[in-house]
Amino acid sequence: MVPTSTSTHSRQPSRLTPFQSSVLQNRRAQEHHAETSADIPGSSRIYHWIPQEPGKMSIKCIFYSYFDADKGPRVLYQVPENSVTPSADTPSVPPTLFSFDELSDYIIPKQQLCDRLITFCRNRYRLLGYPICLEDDKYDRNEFIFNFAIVLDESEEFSSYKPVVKKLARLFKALEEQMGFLWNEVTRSSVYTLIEQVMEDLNSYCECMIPINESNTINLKLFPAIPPPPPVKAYHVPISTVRFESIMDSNWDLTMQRIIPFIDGVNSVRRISELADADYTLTKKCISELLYYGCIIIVDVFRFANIYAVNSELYNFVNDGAGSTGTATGGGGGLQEECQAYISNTGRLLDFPAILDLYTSLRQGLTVGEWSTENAERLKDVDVRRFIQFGIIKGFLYRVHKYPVRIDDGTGVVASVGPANALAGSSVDLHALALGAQEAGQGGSLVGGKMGKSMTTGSGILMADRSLPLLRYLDGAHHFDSICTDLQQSEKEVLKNLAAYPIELIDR
Amino acid sequence: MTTERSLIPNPSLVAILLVIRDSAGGNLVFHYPPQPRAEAAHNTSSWRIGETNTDYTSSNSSFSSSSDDDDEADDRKSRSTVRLYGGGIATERSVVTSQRSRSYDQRSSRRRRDSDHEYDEEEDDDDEAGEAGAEWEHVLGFRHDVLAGLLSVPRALAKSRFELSVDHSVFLGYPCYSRVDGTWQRKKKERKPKSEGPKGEEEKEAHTSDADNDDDDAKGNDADDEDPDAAALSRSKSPNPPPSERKKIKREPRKIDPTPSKLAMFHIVFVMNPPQLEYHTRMHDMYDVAKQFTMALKTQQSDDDYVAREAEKILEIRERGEKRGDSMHELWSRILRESTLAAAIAALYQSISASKIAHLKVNDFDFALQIPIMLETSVLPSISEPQLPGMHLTTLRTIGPTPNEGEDALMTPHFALLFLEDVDDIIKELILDQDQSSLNASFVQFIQNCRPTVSFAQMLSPTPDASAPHPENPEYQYIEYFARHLIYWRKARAILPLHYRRYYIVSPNADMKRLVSQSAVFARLFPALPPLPKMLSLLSGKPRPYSAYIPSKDHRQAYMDMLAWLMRYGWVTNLLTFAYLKIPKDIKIAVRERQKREQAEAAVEMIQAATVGAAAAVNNGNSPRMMSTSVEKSIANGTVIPNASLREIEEESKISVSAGGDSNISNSRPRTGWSDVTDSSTTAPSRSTNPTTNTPGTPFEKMESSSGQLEDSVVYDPSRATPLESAWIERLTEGQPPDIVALFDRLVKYLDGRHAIECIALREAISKKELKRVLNAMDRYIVYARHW
Repeated sequence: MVPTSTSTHSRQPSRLTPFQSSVLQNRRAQEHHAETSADIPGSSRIYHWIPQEPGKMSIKCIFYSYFDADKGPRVLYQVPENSVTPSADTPSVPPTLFSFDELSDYIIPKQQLCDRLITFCRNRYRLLGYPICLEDDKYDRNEFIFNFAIVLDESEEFSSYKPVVKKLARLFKALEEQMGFLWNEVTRSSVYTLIEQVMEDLNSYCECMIPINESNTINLKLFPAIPPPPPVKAYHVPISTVRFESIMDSNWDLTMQRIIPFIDGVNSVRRISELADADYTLTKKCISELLYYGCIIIVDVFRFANIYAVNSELYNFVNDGAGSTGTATGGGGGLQEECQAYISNTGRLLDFPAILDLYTSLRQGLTVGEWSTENAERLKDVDVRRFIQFGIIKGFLYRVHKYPVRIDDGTGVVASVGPANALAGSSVDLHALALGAQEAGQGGSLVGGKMGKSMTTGSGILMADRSLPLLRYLDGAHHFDSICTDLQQSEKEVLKNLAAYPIELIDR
Repeated sequence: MTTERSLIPNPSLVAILLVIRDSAGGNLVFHYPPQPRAEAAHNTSSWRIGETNTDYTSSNSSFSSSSDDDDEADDRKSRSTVRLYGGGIATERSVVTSQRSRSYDQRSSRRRRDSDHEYDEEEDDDDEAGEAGAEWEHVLGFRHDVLAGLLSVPRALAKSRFELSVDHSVFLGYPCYSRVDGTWQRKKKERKPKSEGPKGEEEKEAHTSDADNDDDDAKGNDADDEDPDAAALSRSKSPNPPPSERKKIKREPRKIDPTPSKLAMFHIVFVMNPPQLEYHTRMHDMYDVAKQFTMALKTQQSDDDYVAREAEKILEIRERGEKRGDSMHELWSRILRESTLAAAIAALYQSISASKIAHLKVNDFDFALQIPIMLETSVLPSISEPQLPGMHLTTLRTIGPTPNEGEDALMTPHFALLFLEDVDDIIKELILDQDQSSLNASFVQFIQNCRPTVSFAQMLSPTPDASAPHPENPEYQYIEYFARHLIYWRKARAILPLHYRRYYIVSPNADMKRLVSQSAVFARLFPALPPLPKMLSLLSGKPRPYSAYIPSKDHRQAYMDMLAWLMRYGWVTNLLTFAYLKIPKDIKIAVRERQKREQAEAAVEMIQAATVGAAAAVNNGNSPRMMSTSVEKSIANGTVIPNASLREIEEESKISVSAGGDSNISNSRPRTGWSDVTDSSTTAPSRSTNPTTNTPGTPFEKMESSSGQLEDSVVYDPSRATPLESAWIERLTEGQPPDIVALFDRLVKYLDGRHAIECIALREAISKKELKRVLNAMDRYIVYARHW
């Protein structure tokens, strides 16, 4: 399916199929340290995903059970034998995993529970099944209930098996409806081989493709569960971890194609949408999608007026070379060599203690500008922006944000302009407010009235200050990055506009 | 993979159900909340801690929610949604939904919705849906009887963990069956120690009720039995409330008449909806709660048929209500009024789903349950990780609720307790509920004596430079025990004692969204001090000792009180100093030279071994490649080294290093020459793969072996230095007075970037002055880093 330009824009980003598959491949590739952009230090913290270890034999058993009109729920085929019911040869030997009879209520349930994913834990095993109920006159009680269940270790991360179980069930349901595949004793006999093959392939290759007949194939693949991406903000700056030109093709979402050239590690999300002339909301969706698949990482806007300081992760940076951690990136050696190469702008490399010294001399209350003047001599071979960015990406440096806060002279309490700014849930468009839209202000106060649990001060100020919407940002919850990108003003301009008010600046 | 995320409390609790089985079969007797929403917990896979989730915030001000219990659940949902994505940029609203849909589960659930509607429609049953009386016919989208059948499990599955999921609802519980003869009473236990008072017995009843008829799955709460006092206050993994919450009821031992109960089974089912990636941790946490609650009920059931009576009562009320045509709301409030079990289930749901401590009372038995939460973290979440605003930041391994391996026994006496609630409130709670045993008196006294500025060691002996108490000191053990108890029940957190000479900075994890409300509280508490934003602004600049902000000595106490308050709410954190050991090039050259000399001297007896080593080093197939990289590197560094001489250096360094390591061993540890020979001949010849030490090759060694170049470097772990590193370290102190050398040898292990300098003097029981002298003397070789 090739998306057309108009439909692409309205589609959910979660449906970007070609993109999804290509970046997923990319994610896999990254695990093997191939195809990644050599330029960008890929952050090992970002890649939570651990691929299924091939040969781990996660699936302990697959069995096919159904409701027999005479004998009740019973297991017809199980791989391996004797897993959940005693095999015919040795009826006295108890099953190795658990007893099917104990759990049959949950495997072959009442009709109301069919067509739902059911899991059950027993004996430290987790059983995943998707019972199917078919109604037809040809069946003994006018209905036929069956279930293909997969058994895993209880502690196994099982989310990727859920769609597999479901798909398997739906497939056999279709086969049964089409040709009575399971009811017919002849075709049924191939089930054992099929589930044996499925189990073997999924355990070994995490996917399988087994043809059943000319029109049906068992096509299964285990996809990893990836944590949802963090909320993208206008002031976030994306940096690519991949070479987009090598994986992007014309099937990609149009907005995506437009914005990608502007992802350069300098532009903020807001700026990217402007430069690409793309809708801001769509841009954010795209960024969010890229983030989800690990194609980008997010940093803050770099300015020489920013303040940075080391955090508790510094130890890992220093200690990385010791080889004790398995997270060393890239084939090019440890984190420290990576750093040396990344920060240099002349090709001359600083020795590590000098780098460490430079990082640790960044501290609270000291802007990068001041810092680089102090260390001008040692920094002459260093690209300061890349120096800072490396620390941020690797997580041992943190940005100290500056928050303007307006205090009420009389009480010393933070003067807040209505609760709308504290509660992001309000539908007030702050950008519109910045342009002085009156009705939006009214909306804000209305929302405040409804939600105003935390609002006892400053309600009087609300009326007076509607003319200066900037004040809404001064409750301490907004730092300058956020204010400046929202209002599209520089920090200086913002500060100038605030000159008349008692402002405290908090660095955090 | 889920550890970071699990820092954020997310109970994912949808509902709690009471299912029984009697002669009439299985029955879903009660569920709470009346109309559970399966999706509610699902969406809160959080990027941010909701303020309401931390217990101590609710007590702080009038700003906290005043909503009454009835709409608490709904209210909570909306609030948490707001906070999760709380940016303040209203245009982001529309994106919120799309972001949620990104989660794996969500997506599949959407797909499911597209494909099959039958059950989903039922999930949305609202008040107006359906005719009166049928409101509770469906629970969580299941028909009442289907759910009852599903959860009244067969006897074979009893007494073990029950975990069933149907689509996105997970049912978790610990089904309890009566004995085969239909009774619930335990066999009379003979093994109770006579020494125990009534308190101990009460304790044991709660704890060991399952001991004789439960399988191994029952975690041994019996462990607490050893010490009656300890049992009375035991906290971890036990259903005990803090002493403040527990009421001792001296109950006459009941006459046990083994009449069979009508009740065959009861099953408290916790319905959950955890985010898929947090599935295992969330289920694990809840199972602890579920099992403890079930066990408490089982004790009451075996005592006087409590669960059976309550279930009967609830069913009667429901029947009456159904006849009268009561609304669900009316019916549920009547049930909660009249049945203590229903009330306990409701209270449990309310508290646990809000990540609070549940104070429960069933059949006059008081106890408390909670899912323990993290009170501090060492890692500041990055911009793309779930945020933990307000959580205290520290790398110090302070005292946890239970003794654990990560703790540093030498440091624990030097921590202090920082209360997270008003001390008076804690004591009031305690006194209200307690009978005046001596233990409680000392507990109260301990709480009163605790100061955030005074460490435990100082509490014991108030001299300024008190040495650490012996860990076996019984008095100290009580202190530690009390402290852990308070920490477990979220009343306090252990910190490095506050001191005006220490550095405090605005915590990068401070919850700025609470600034408005907290500044009002602050203004009320400290009217004479600068307002909160002003204080934070002061603390924002270049780090300075806290004393720099205190205008005069008279203000000190007030400022320290304020500091404690700022620490309590995570506004500030203690800036600590960490040190790394740097080895400059000249030291390395000196060491190499000396080793060469020593090598020459040792040549007579070592000649055999040296030849072998050197030959192997030269024959090492890697040599040519290494050399070329070294040339490249030297060019890159701008140092022009003629090729030939480089070759010489290369060869020499190889030999000296490979032999040097061994000769160094012989220096530091007296050995016979013979064993040295065997050592070096049996181990691998090349330095890069030399396994003579257990430490894996450090980058320096890699660097050296690959380039032969000597560069400044940092020793990563001086406590496990390689022989070569030890030689360097030894060399660093050359020319220093002997006392400095001795002290430095003792302290060098702390220069690894993990031990706060602030703790060293305490841990090693040396004076701060001495420490300062050593560090100053060695200043050239130390890189300092400051963080929390």
